[in-house]
Amino acid sequence: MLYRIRHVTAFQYDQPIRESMMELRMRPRSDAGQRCLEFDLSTLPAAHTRSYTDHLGNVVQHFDIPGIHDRLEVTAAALVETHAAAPAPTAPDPAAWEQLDALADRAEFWDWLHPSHYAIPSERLSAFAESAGLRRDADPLTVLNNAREALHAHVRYDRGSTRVDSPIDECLEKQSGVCQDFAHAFIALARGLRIPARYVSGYLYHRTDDAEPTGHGATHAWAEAFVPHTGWIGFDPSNNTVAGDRHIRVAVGRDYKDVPPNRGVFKGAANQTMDVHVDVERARGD
Amino acid sequence: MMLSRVADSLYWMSRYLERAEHTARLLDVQLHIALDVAPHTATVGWFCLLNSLRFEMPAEVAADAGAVTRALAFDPHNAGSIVACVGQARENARQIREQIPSEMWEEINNLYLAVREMSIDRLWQSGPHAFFHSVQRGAQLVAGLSDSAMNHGEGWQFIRLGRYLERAIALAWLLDSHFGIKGADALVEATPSDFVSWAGLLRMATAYESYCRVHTVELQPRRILDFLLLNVEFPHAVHFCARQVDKAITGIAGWTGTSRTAQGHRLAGRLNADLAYDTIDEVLANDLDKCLNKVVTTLAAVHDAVYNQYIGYTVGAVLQGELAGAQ
Amino acid sequence: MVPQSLESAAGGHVLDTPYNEMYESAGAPRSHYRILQDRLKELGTEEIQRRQQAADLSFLQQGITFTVYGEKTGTERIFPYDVLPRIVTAAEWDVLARGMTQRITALNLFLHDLYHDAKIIADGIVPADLVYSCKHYRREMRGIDPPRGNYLTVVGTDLVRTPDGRFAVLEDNLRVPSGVSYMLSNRQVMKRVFPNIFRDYDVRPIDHYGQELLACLREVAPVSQAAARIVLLSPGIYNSAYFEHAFLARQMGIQLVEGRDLVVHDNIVYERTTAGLRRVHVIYRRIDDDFIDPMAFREDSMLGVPGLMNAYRAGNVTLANAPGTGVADDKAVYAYVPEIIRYYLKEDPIVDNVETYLMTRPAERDHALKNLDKLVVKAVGESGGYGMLIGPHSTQTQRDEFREKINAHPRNYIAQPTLSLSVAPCFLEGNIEPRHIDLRVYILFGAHARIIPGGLTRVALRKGSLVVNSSQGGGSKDTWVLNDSPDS
Repeated sequence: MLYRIRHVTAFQYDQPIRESMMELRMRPRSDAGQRCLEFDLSTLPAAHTRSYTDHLGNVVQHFDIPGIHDRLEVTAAALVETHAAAPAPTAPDPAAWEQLDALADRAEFWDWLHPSHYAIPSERLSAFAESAGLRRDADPLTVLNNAREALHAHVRYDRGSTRVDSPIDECLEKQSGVCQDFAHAFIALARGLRIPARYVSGYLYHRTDDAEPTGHGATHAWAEAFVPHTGWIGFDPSNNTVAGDRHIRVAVGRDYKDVPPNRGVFKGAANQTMDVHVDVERARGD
Repeated sequence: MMLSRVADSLYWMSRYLERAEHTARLLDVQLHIALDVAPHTATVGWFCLLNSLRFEMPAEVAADAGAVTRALAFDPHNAGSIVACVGQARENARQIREQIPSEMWEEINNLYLAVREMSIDRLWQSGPHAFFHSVQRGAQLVAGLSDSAMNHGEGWQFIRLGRYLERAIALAWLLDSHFGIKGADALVEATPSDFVSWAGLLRMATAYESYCRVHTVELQPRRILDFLLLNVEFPHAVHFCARQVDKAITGIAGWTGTSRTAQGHRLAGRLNADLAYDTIDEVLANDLDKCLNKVVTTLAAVHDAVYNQYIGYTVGAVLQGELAGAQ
Repeated sequence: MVPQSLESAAGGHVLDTPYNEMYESAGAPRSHYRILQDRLKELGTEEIQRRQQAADLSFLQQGITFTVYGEKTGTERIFPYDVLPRIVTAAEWDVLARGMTQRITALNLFLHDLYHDAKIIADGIVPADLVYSCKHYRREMRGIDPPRGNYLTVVGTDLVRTPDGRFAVLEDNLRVPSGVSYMLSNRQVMKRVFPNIFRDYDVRPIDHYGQELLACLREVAPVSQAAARIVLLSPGIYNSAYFEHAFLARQMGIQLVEGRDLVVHDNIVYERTTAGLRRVHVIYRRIDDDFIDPMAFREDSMLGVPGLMNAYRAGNVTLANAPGTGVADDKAVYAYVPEIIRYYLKEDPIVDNVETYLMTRPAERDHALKNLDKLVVKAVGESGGYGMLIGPHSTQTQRDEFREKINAHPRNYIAQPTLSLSVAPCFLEGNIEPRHIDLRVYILFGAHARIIPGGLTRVALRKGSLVVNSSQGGGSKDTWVLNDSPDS
């Protein structure tokens, strides 16, 4: 599938500010399941944008605006091609748990197996896993799908009910949360079962007849877990689905803290308000 | 070229010390005068003093020597009090202790400790003159050390700028309040009863002896004004101070490669030239108020221009080449 | 050092008679202390007392002080100073110098590996857990290549002398080691207080520390060495080590800056001057990783420079030391340094660690559990004496508690013998008495290692105390490294 994305973030300051600096993780990834064919970033006031690739392979764009300003608009435009994910194996592999445990000593999996800022185990989460019967009995893929379904059944998606950086317990207790909560809870559950799991920030293409609660015109977050033989599989617990070719991946990290879409500082005693507008549309391939 | 932060601290250290010295001298002189004059005259004197420091107090205590002295010398919440100014001077010096001669730091610190130890009660016991005199001496010692123990480089120019800019404004306010309160009558020949207050004005500007040497002890208000406003040789005359401000700015411009057309440069140069070519008759014909007001507003603008040019400039401004010498 | 034979090492667990730096046996000074003893006898106690007072006064007048926290007015105290020098022979120093060169070389290679391929983890020498759970491990540093692959420019390593007379490393300080200003000032004062004794010995000079440090900083510059503008970044006057920051900036003739003096634009670092922005190439930073850049690390840092890490990543500025070096001075990682040396250099360590038992190794764990009453057990993630069991001073209940903890989380603990630091004579209230000491040596690394022949000998001034920290009654001595034995 080919998608055209336009993502506008407008910052308004109630007092003039200066020497503002911003780091963005907005460029869709080019890896296994997708390719970013075009990407354009523009800012108002105009700034010279530089970029680097972080240690997780995410492209980070950054810029600074030295002069005095009270508004900043960042527009990211991308053209992305996604491929339908390879079907997950239907025959569960009984040796999968042992293979997973063998990964634990590998340096590159350490981060995906241990608690991180927002994906921290808790008593409430353990109780939830217990009540949902999440344990190492069936094969990893089945258990992960059970976790996704259990979360979806327990927590209602409700935009504005929590913040992107709320602790997992809050959404479990309220039984409502935003997509980051679903992702963080899923990651903590998976890591609790010693399955490598990571956070994905990105976009979801929404068809007019789709009934996903996460809706369109917004950024989205979900999780990926590593399953032997298959590799990373995306799980979207807020929409109770496996990530497919409508999920456009922008950045991966241990949790939200590693990959906020923007992070910035400025000089001046001003309050900042942010307005985000996202469009994801099907594009025609040439 | 030096760090902007360091220049800023040197400048403010110097301004605060000058301010503390000035306030101490005013209190010293006024407490002395109040002993010699009728209660009514003393009351006018206190109003005049508060006015010249642009400090407001409730009317019922404004003529109360104890209340005014406490507020202007020891109230830490009054940013203009001696204790607050010396504290600020020390804090600025502390930030740049490595950049000033250690003797200077030690004297500032000594002054700070002495001021901090004094209280209004002990002041009356030990005699106010000794204390206010020591504050003036402490500040003068630091100023003297800056001249004798420091490179006369860019940092020194910022010290000089702070000292004379502060002093010029304080003098303009002092003249404004004395001549303003007395109104048109002020310029008529002084009566013997006025002698004490005119001598007081001169003493507040450390000018009594210098004036007498030039004009004898005949205190004529018009000559006093001429002396304190337009004299270019006396260090507590407005013109002398404006000239020092201009020289300091020229010096800084040389060190930093600033264009001669920069705002601060033009303002300071023009003020100095105006004061050099003005006569006292012209000043009075054109309204003294206006003239003093122009001195104060111009110096405030010079301060802003210097700050924007050397200290608080935005990176954006440098990049657009608004500042000379940016690389 | 992990003991080769547990049986032979077991004897060392009881507090042995400490090594005496000055005396071989009662009344018999070691040859290199003989002149000192003679001269002190000639001077007499009163004269030494007078000179001690002169030394104290000199420190006070020069403002060689450290700031005591928590007092608004900024109380400054002098670091107590003992006038009697600690003397290290040429032969002893030779071993130390080679050992420290080897150590810093291996630690630099280790850091480079950790932030690139992590081969040492893949090869099973250092456990992944240890590295990635360390809060000083900076993921932001992965894949970044510092100039010359040099992570450590300034290292301060703490050594102790064990009862057998050998030096052993107690701790590495790889982040922002401090104290070198005391080393330099101690020498200045010593030369004034005891000029004659100093002349009697052939003491190697240390005054060139500033030049050597500046040379190292130039060598790691991202631009040509001559063009490099180098600054020292300090947290400011409220930092307890501010005196040292100002002192070193003066020694090197470089600008002392604070975070607010620097600004990053388009990945270039500038300092704000009265003549506009001036580019900076090398930053000798005396601010912890957490605070250097609010964009990359702690967002609430007011001390740092936003965008500094991006400029660093782009290769436009050098930070010395590099961010993320703290992972290599972590307590548990320390235990692996001998292995790290063997792994990268294929050599045995010249100067060993203090014996350290890793609770992850069954034989060492069993041994430690049997000898809990003789050992010190330390939690690897803690510092400042927290989470520690001091065997000889512990109760059965405490030992049982630690036994359980060790068995439950063997990876979180290490054990060491209770150390008996060597003693040296100190002049205290009119008497010469032995006190426990250690030694911090400073190693610089630019294009190559440079070790200043001297160091900061720290003294536990309280009788019987083994604590040398300045905050807990510690003081210091001048450390003389000789060119040769005086009688040879």
